[in-house]
Amino acid sequence: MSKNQGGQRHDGRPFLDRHLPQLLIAPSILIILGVLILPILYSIYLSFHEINFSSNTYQLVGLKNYIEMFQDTYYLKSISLTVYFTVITVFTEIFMGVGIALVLNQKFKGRGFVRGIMILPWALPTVVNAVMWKWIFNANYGVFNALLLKLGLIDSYQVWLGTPLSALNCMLFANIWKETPYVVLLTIAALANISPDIYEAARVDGSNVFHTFRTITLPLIKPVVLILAITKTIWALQTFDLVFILTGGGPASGTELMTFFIHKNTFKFLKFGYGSAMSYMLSMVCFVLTFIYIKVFASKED
Amino acid sequence: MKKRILSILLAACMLASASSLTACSSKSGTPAASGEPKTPASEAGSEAAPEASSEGASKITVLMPKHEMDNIGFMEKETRGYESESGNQVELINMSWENVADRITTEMAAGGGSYDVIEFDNSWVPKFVTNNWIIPLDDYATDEMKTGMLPGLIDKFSYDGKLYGITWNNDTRFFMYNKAKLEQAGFSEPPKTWEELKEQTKVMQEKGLTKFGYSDSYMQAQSCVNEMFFVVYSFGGDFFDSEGNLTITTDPGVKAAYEFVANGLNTDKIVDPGSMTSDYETVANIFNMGDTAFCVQAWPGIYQSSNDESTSKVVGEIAVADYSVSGDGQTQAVLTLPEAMAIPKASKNYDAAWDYIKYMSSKEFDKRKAEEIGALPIWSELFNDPDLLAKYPHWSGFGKQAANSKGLPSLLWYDEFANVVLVESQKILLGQVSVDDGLKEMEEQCKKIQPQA
Repeated sequence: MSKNQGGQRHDGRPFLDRHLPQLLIAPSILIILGVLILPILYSIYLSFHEINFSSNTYQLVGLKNYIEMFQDTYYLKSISLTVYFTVITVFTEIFMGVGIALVLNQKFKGRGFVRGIMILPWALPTVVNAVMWKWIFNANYGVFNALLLKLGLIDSYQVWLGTPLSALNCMLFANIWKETPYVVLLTIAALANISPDIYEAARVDGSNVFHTFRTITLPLIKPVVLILAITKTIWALQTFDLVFILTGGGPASGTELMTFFIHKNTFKFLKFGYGSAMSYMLSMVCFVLTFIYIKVFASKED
Repeated sequence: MKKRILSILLAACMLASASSLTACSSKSGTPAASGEPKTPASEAGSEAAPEASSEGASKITVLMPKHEMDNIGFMEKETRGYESESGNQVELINMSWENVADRITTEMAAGGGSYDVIEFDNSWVPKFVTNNWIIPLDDYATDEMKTGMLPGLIDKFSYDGKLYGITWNNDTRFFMYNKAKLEQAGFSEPPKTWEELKEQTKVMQEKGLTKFGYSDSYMQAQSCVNEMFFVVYSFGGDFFDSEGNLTITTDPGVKAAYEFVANGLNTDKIVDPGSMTSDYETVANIFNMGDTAFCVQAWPGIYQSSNDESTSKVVGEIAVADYSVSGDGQTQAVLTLPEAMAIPKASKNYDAAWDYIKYMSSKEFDKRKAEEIGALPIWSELFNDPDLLAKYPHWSGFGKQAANSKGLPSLLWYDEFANVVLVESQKILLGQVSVDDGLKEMEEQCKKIQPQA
């Protein structure tokens, strides 16, 4: 062991040998710094300012943007809509996804084909999915109306995207249809890792289906469900393109989720400071929810 | 050793890529921040104009919405014609109006120089000029243009005495109706008032001639604001008085307009409930399918599409009224929503951009546009052109209605104002709130965002 001129210890290996790992990760760090950290820091700065585009100046406004958002009735409404959308989608997708995965985990003829078909909705780009559902729900020529009419469930065509609650539920339906297969996919992978011997032992011990699911299957797939719950919640909170294409936030802002509201204020009304403040609010919600999920699941693990 | 060298080479490549990315972003991201733009003359010889070739030809990027009447690719064809004639290259980007609006606003706010010619909507004039995003065109526009184009269009895109946009779409709406259905129902004339429109619709609905009186675009988009402004104007109302004060709760015309539409949707059932989700194309389709008898704010191209057997079930049945529907049969109004071309301040090709604008607004081009897609001219004398009048005899009806054309208000805070009008209007139209409560809320929300003098 020798000392260099700066007084730092090194083992006598050449510089490249000693610093190769740092050199290899340096480009990634640089890119992350440029495209992630700097914009994040810049938007924090923006959230305390108002921009005057005519003079290209920034006026410090302190916490005004953060205070204003809680006095903005449109923003508060978008929060409640986002909570509704997130809770329903995450719960339904996981509940249905696990259920479908359990069925697809059984051995039956054509299982591979059904599994392949199952993944198709998730493979569709979100934009394509939104455009497709927009046509399906079309008030005058949509196939959803035609189907329900043929089945005798409605006596005239309905405007499914025409009222706030109905439009929000249609949006939920479109999102659940697209996102559930992802839950199915990951749950099937988790189920495949459970040894059949455990089920065999449970069967020999006289355990019924529900008891087996509760005591064997569920605990073993719980880590995957935890990951799904976290990612699905964050994705649901970030939903933007579906709103943008399917409803445009309407009618009467009844489907205006937080991301859409932030986008509108930032890029349409040019309130970059206000938009940044609201974005941080959303980020904090994501952070807190993730923290809660982890704490809850971790405590149960213990 | 080989692996280490390979790793170092890869790392070096990544670093080089990262550096280039940083360099690129700093070049393209801050043109507006560098102060005043170069003059066209200095720009011609500038090294900062990378698209300029050694032969003097330029490449420009144009961002425009698709013309609602252009179903044959006319603008694309003409752009290619311009390229052949001028030697310049044009990248023409077409999107929906809403997408263009979002993209342009973001681009202008960021000071980007991606586009050389942009869409310039009539409702954006104060915002774009005040924020110094576009250049005045007075030095470019010829006297012939300033005096030969429709004065209303020149005025609409002028601000503080300077001209900022040259109209490419004289988007004025007219009242059209299905003459055949009206005759079958026993009416010889289209309705003059909204009440008459309701009565005629009821008769046609009872006889099974039509599903609804009319369909309109009340979806959550700018179109809903346009249409509510039209109905309010047609009832003799306005959202502002002559001094710019809000009159939403005090103007009887505003209340009458909202009551008529809300009742039409919810109780009278004369307005297609699908209007709450319909865009303009859907409104035109429904009219052309014969499901509605009136198109209260039809753009000129609907007349052509209604007579096209491939897209219409009402060929030969549509007529243009000599007047528009109004509250009292006297106070008529049609909406005019012109769109112009403008040059962003951050463009690096002012001269080439203007050259394109000049071509795409020339009298010859304007006549070809009118002949091929039926668009209304922007040049005054073309309204008396014998060729066009022979081809479009129904334009006489347009001329009579256009005498009462009215536009949207010019407000610096227009986007936020329109958003409040849109959201609160939809609540009223859906019957979620009463007309009085809805208008009261609309005015209160507008007062919150209205800049204080």
